[in-house]
Amino acid sequence: MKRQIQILALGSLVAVSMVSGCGGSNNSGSSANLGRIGVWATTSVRSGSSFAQQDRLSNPVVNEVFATFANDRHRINNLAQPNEDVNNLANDIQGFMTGVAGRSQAITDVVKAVFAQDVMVVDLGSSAQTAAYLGVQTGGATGSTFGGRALTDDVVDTSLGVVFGGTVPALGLAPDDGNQIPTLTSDNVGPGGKQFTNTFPYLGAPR
Amino acid sequence: MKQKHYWLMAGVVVLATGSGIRLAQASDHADTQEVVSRAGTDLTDVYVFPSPENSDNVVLAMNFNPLIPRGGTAQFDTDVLYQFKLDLNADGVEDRVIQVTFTGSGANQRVRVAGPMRPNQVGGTNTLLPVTMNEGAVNTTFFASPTVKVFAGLREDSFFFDLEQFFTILPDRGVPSGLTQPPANPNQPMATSWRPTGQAVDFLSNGGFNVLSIVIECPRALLVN
Repeated sequence: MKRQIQILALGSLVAVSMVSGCGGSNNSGSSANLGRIGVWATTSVRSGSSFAQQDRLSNPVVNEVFATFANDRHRINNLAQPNEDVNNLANDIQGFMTGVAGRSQAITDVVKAVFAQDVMVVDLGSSAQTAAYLGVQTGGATGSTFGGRALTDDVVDTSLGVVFGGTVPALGLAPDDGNQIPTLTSDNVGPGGKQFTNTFPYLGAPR
Repeated sequence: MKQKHYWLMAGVVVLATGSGIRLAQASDHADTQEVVSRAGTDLTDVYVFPSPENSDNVVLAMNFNPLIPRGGTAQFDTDVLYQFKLDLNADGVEDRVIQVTFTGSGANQRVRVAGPMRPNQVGGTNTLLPVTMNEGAVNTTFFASPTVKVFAGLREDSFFFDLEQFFTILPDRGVPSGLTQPPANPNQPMATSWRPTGQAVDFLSNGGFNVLSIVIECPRALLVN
């Protein structure tokens, strides 16, 4: 039943992005069509002739906010694969959203559908010139239908808006539960301290 | 940003608040958690965006090895495999991977890139794909192929966040550093707000911290070939 709800929520998210006109998902796994892909990074340590995963990262501040140090939750998620998140990270999100954040089950289900599986969704077919964190899942509401993540994206504030703010109800993905915590929706830090450039490799020179 | 990142930063907070603990010792102290003990495995941020130089291209970037102090350097770990994993059909399993490895030591380290290609194996245990493209020097932009541009080297840490207030709100996340005490409920917020503009601090910029970065730019279509 829980999984069914997640699929329904994900379906509504997909509907939002389709309405906005960006490219559809590529379901063949082998087509050269520019469409929607999921991206994550791993680090693995050499062990004989193979390498064993030590860390995994995609969407920022997901594992670190939703999962506790207690009970080894961080480590378990780091060693898991995205297709296992529905049985791991999803439970961390459930506990945090309905506990700490005090949000409704409907909003919680949307957050679980977006982040578990924890991959960065990118629409390679988008004509947008810039990325925007969660742009695919929100139909471009965060700034661009390309999705991905731009260097200047304030991913902390975006995430805080989802968890503690009115982002999910504002997108029409779940009813407003009246449980927003406005004092927690921005850490009041922006990208102004960085030295990003418009030329490769784009990341700022070392300090 | 990863929890290990926070944890190491907590060690630096201890340093900054005058405990007398030196950075190296704080890092050594992190040995109790295997991932933290190996900074080269410690991923901190991932980015994917259209190239500002050529919108037909896409840029993939990952940062790791956090908290390199201002003016400092760090070597790439030659026993670590770095991968961008790409899922083309939304099943949470990689269909293509880009693999990056390093050889050598010091300023003469070299970087090798393979892919995007179908992986030999999916999941948590992987083997190396054949490297058919040019290798290059670290800290220098090079073309692995005519269409694949690569940089691997030292950069400023691109993440911006009020770390100290985060630990104040959720002390559980700072426990391994010894900076905070384990709360009865690890998910119980201990503060009700962030610090206001003017008091909030971008910890990484303020401290001048650097990371190691891998940045790859290639045609969008190459990711799904």
